[in-house]
Amino acid sequence: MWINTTRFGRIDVDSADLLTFQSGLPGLEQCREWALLADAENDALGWLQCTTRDDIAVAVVSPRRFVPHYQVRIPRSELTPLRLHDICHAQLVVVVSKNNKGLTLNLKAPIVINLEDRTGRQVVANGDLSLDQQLDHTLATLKKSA
Amino acid sequence: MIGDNIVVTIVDIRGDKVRLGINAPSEIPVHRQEVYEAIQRENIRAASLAPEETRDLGDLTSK
Repeated sequence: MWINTTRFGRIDVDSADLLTFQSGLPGLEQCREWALLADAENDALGWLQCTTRDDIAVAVVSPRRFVPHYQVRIPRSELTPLRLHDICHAQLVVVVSKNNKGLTLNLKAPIVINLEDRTGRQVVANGDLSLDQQLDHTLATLKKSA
Repeated sequence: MIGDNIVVTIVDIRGDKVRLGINAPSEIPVHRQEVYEAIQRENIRAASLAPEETRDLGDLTSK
């Protein structure tokens, strides 16, 4: 299936690789269908591209590559809509953003993907985690457990 | 965020503090309003990120 994107041009995605976010993402509620793309230059980075809005995409990473001790506790009510029957079917990524000091990670509201159903949801983790954790060389020493 | 399927009841009133009970179908996220709005703003900001701005990421992975 061909989709238009402002960042990557016109690309062909396999319908089987699409993810459905029943609630969209907070702030991007109208985007229910996303394609998870690998960044061409950086294997640590993925892009969630909205299939219905060519300009909407968010960069995502596996948090442990940047915050090795990252752990989250997620309330059951946050996970129930995903209908995860087995934790090995889950993938967790965090959204990358930027502020005037550089790149940041949203450790407070990770995105959980149900690989079996191809569904996803952004959840709110318990504890004192940052929505915009600065990504710099000190991050590897960040000890965070929620 | 409070929609048609959500019922807000007053559980308790003590002095100037009002405790609210919120009943909602489980599929509708019910958060403290401020947290949800902060996540909305953060996502909208993240959605403006361009690939060129991520080039430093490779240097920041923890070894």
